[in-house]
Amino acid sequence: MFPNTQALLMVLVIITSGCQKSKSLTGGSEAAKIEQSLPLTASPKAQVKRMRADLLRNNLAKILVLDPQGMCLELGRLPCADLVHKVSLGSMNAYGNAQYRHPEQVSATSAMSLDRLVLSACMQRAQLDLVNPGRAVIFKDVELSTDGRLVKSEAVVTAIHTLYQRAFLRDASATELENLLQFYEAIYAQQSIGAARNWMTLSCYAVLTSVEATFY
Amino acid sequence: MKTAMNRRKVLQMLMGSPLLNGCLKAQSVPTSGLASGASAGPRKFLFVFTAMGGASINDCFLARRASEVKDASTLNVFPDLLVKSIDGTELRAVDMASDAIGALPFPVKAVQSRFLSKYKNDIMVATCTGTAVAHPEAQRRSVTGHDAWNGRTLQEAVAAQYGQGLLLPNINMATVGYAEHGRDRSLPGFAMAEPVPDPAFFPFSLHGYKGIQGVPDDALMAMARQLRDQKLEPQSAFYQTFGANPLIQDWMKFRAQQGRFEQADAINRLNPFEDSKDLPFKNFGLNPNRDGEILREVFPDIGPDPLQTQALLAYLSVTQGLTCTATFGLGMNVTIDGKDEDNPLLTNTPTAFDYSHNAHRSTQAVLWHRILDTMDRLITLLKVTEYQNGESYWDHSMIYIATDFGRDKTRKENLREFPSGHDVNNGVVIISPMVNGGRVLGGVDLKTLKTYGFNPETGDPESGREMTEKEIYAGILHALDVDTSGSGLPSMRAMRRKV
Repeated sequence: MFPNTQALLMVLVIITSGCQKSKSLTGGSEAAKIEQSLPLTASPKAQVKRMRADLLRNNLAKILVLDPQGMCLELGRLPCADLVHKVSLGSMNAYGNAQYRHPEQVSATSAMSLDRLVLSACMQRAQLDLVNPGRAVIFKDVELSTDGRLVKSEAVVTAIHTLYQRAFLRDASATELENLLQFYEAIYAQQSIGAARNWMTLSCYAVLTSVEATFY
Repeated sequence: MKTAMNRRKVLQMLMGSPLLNGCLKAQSVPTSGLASGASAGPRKFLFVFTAMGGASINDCFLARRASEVKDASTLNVFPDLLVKSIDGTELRAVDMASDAIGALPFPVKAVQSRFLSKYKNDIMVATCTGTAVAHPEAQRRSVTGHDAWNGRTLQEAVAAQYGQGLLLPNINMATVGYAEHGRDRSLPGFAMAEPVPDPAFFPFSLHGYKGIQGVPDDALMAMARQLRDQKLEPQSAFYQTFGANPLIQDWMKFRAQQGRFEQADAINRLNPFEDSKDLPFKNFGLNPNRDGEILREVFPDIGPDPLQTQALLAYLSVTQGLTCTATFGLGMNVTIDGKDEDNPLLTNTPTAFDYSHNAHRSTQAVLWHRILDTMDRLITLLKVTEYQNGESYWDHSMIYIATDFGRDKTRKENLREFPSGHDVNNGVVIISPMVNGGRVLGGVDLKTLKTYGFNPETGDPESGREMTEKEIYAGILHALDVDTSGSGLPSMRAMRRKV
């Protein structure tokens, strides 16, 4: 079943990384190092499909539990995935533009359109989770200090895993966990005011605009 | 409102005058720094106007009077008074009016002579006989010369020659066959067209986050992207497994260019709209193009009028230094100018020129008028915008009016309005200071109204010859000074301006 020991080791790491949820905030470093030393074999065919506008919209809405129609509105009124960025995000526009086929290629504006869609959605989610932590979807029970700092707690680790679980049906790896935790420190060093909110928004953005979230 | 109308009237009177020239020059946005890795020498710019559905050359530049032909009652000719000859050329114009477009109760007032008189020295008509009567395929062939150069479109060839280093060398706002990519696999990736389905919305997709209320600042956004690009993504199992996929590679290549778009402030520079209650750009931290007011005077109907909106985006993307070829034109959908609620005007018929199946004469009239009106506005702006060394953008530009095919040359006896089918025989219109302007290359057989060809070197009419799509394709590229070495394209000296 496992053709080599590398693969077996990798599975073990993945299994153990799944248990990181309950570990301390800094406990991921060792596992992260082990992970990095295990290169994966690239798929010789590497066949993937691009998520098109409607799939991206629905996915995001499901991951972040948001209204798919209100998740991203340019100028507060123009729907991103259904109108403004529809073709740029890989969909076709048969009725409006006599375009009967999906674009085969990625276009120069696709990544920017995705950024706008995801960023708007992540900002909404972060805001909702901050306002009502008890009913939060991603950043549940994440606490802020009186000066707006993120209080380091298990809830932060759980939030990162929740984001990955909802997005990719897997926990964050130890490396990803480590990187996202360090990201908060970097944000705080750069701009302490609103650091927690910005970390929530931008962690969500960084994960949900990655190629793993864009292709399947 | 009264003031705006007065300003508009004044500007319209000034179209092409030195006064408007000075006005735009003073407010034009400097473009330095937008392009990197640009090829040496001045660029050339190609605007392809897509005359969807079959624009008949016999209903505009090559119109014939009833008195000129023997079988006038059954050929598509006009009452003598409607056809105007343009001084010093063999070009013709049709000025006519009608109460309806077939069953569509919209009045038509079409004036072609004004445009022809104004630009006659830059207008070249070259006769051509196509090879397809199916719309999408004929449209594709009109821009590939029936795969004359490995299937590369004219726009791709121009972008490959002049688009190196530009952010969006080739934008395409057209539809159906005109929106197809070419088939040349050796085409450099940057020369492929960027589809622009809606010119009004397009600027929003030129920045990853500007204009989103409450967004983290530039530095934080850069940190988040760095985290994603350098840490999260490369280490992910998904990327390590599938990262070699060409789609993912393209995605990452384009994503790496995002910063250039954002630095260029393309989201604002390509936005000609006015901040208003309906479009509250400023509330969202956006500042539309500062030349907007002047641009809207020349294109007063941007927004409701998709054609004007497209033409203005084409102008802006070229003159802001992002693009060297822009494709736009009539779409399949009906458009109506409803400014005067009591007297609305139809500005695009259902399926554009193909509505000639129902009402040939008025469809051709209303749409040719619309094309020429839009081109006039575009050329006006290009002429008054300096490119370099005192030369205007127009000095380096070409407009190619591409169409699917011609229409039937015949009609039922003496019918003023009649249906027409598709006919491969037609001609193309090219407007540019770089072409053999003021000329009709080829001619019209007065017995059949079919066009005949010309000598590719001298331009002399040759009644036994029909020009091919490949020859027209070659002539356009050569006039634009595109290097076609090794392509096997024929020399078409007659289509270039003699210097």
